[in-house]
Amino acid sequence: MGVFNLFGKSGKAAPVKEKNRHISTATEDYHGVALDKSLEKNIDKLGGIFRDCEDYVMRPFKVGEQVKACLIFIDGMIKIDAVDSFIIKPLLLESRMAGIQINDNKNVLKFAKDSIITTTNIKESGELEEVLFAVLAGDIVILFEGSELSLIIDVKGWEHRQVEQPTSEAAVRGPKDSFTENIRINTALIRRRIRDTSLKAKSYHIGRRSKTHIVVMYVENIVERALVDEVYKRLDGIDVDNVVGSGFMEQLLEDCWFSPFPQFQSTERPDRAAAALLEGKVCIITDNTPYISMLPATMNDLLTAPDDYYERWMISSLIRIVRLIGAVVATVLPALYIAMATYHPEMIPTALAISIAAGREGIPFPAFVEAVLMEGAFELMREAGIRLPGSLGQTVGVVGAVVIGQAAVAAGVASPAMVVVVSLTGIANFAVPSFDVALSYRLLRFGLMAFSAVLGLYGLILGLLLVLSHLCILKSFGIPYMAPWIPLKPGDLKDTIIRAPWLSMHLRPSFMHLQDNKRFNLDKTEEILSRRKSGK
Amino acid sequence: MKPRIWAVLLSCSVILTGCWDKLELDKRTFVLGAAVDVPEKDAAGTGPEIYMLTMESPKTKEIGGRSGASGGRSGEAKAALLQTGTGKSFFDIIRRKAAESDRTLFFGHQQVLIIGEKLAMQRNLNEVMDFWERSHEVDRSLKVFLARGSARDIFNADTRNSETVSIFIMNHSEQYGESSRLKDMDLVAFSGKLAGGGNFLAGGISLTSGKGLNLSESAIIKNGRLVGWLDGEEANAAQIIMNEGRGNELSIPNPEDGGVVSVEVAGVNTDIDIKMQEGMPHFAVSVRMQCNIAEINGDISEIDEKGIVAINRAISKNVEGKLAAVLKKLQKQYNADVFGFGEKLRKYRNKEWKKLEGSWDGLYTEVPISVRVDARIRRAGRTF
Repeated sequence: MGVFNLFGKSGKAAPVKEKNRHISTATEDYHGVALDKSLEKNIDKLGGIFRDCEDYVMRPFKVGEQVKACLIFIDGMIKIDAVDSFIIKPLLLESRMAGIQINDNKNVLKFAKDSIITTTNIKESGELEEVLFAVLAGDIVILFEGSELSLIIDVKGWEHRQVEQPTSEAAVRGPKDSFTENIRINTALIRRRIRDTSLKAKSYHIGRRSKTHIVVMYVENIVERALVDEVYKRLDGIDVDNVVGSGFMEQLLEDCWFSPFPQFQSTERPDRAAAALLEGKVCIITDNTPYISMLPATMNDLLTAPDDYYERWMISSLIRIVRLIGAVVATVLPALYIAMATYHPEMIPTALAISIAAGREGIPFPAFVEAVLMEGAFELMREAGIRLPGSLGQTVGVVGAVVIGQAAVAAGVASPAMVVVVSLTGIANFAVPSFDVALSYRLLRFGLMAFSAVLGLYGLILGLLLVLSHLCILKSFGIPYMAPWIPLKPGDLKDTIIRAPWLSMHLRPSFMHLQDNKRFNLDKTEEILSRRKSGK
Repeated sequence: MKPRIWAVLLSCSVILTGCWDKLELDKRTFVLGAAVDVPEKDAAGTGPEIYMLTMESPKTKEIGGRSGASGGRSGEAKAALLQTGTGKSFFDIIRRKAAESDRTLFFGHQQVLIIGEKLAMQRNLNEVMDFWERSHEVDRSLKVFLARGSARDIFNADTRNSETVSIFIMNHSEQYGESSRLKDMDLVAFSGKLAGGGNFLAGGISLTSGKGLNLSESAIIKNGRLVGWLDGEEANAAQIIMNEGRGNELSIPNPEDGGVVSVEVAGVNTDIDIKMQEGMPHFAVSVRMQCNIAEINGDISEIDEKGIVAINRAISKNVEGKLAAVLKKLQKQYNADVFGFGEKLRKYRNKEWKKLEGSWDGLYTEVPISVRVDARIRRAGRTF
């Protein structure tokens, strides 16, 4: 942050309050306003509020041919069949057929709620603000003549994507369901995995205009209470007009915005979310985003993949080590190549040094420029591959890499060794399981390349030390980012470079300061282990 | 100015003035091997120009070029570049060569240093080695050889598969290191021996008549100067005295029928004992060897226990003879204490050594050295 402050302008406090006045407060304009007794007036008022809203529907009718009522909703956000058969039909026809006489306007609302309407989720409200919010959220509201109260009935139903296979976090043996854009489905997917009353879900509506539904989930008797309070505190401090998605939420909530590293772990897999909740983490689910955010995140978490826990421990550990090497290669390899080729050729084995030198013969650029060009080309191809639709994107990636690499070598723009380095780096980057942290490594790669171009291996080490020192002071919601390595907790190292056998991981990570530390019943575990030893 | 701006400017000075040592790979000439000689014109070595340096480096353009397109080097042309210069010192020569070249000479990948026979005889090797010992670029695992004849000619050898002679020598010394045909030494070992008195055996290299390379000889160095050579067999025997020589091959007449028995030396254990008799040290070299029979020519019959014992005795006798001959050659002919008998005396009989120290150079030729070899066959090989 200091770098930005260098250029002054930081001391002046902007007149924030003045600006705030112009932010629309949406439904909050009607805060504290009560509904009127007269149906006519209420309809007029709502009609005024919803003027020029083509999707606003108002349907006046009479309950039992006597009491005037009016049903309002937003078209497309409700299950219209359910409204027809469980609300309108009973109110209009069945109340009369049953011979119920409704004379008292005051009782009609209570009567409709208790005896006529056959949907489950129903409540009364006399607040205009609440009515407006309900309508906008996809509920239907029924106003009655002569009543200051209205009925809010939950018949939400709109077109949404079904639960599909995870796209960015595929696991060979894991479950194949993933989160969707619908927050209710998402919470249900988690609840199905943790059937415990202590799994709590607190709801927020954030965004003055968007009123985005956000749910904070945690397991009450595992999680550290202070962590949840901190999350609430930060959520309360957010005042924006729109929440774009979970990534946006993460950026509003994170500890250090001046860091290349993600401080949340995002996932589209409900099994991962459930596992994180049971490790004492907090999940923030944002409506309209198929990725949920888990916090606090550590570097170690970001390098794990779901398959680690489904395969047996030795295989998982091997794969994890491969992945770690991939992460290191993705970050350091081009920088190392530049440093060695331009400053320390004596470090390359002789035969390799000669063949690299032979390959560089006639290349017009220094190794650094060559590396930046090739890495840049690779990034371009990647970006193009993402933008292009489906199968075409993959084709661009493969064909582009092969053709451009070959052509660059043939044209004498790049050396064969550089093509190898760039491709290896690219492949290694794909091996990093978390997309967010893979992006960080991509970013750091360019910085380290510059460092080693200027100062050689000394610069590379200097750059790595800078990154490392940043990682050591970085925290995610109070939990050190490098935990359990820094500070070292030997007991928690069972799920780091190697993934220890499940039975030996009977304790939850201690750096999370949890209320309930035990994963398994230790006595039972020992019993199982001794039975295995004796071979019975 | 504000301190912040100062901080920015200062950090710029660190970053932007970097690149002192920056030198792209293709702007360097990798010196893979160097041969040092006496200048040809001035064979007496008395003129102003003392050294002739020949450097071998790969022609990177021909080795790689645009990979695949040209399919590596074409035809029989060697992909090595030889540069020769003369001067007062090696540094002088190198700097003068640099003035003629568009690339920097880089010694970080030097594999071999070959010292010519004439130079090694005329000058103390300490002087010759000084540049290589001092240089920060030169790798410590550099192999040092003495050439029989001109060192420069070694680079004209036909090395068949290898791109350059230096790489051939390096690969060869790695390949045959265990067979101990070759007594190769890296820079550290060579300099160490030079510093510790300068009496030792160094790897020799010579051109054969067919332009091939022969690395089986050893150079005898006395007080830092080359004095003579041991041929391949003598060098093998010398290695046994030095407690080495595993993997050597010995061919001896079969004691039973006069055929030939070839054995492979599987293990050598040499001890040198000292006994003082009337103020005169007596050295006893006792060697225990394990051998495997590799081949028997002649009347092939099953070898029984007696046969084995006979072969054991024959090998022991044969090796004893060879060792005695080498010791005699080094004692009487060259008066070179390359096996460090004097050093042994200093270490284990220090009191007597102090008395003999002054006269050791003359005494060495007279000192009695007895040799006893106890060879055992361990494996007779597969029989049907």
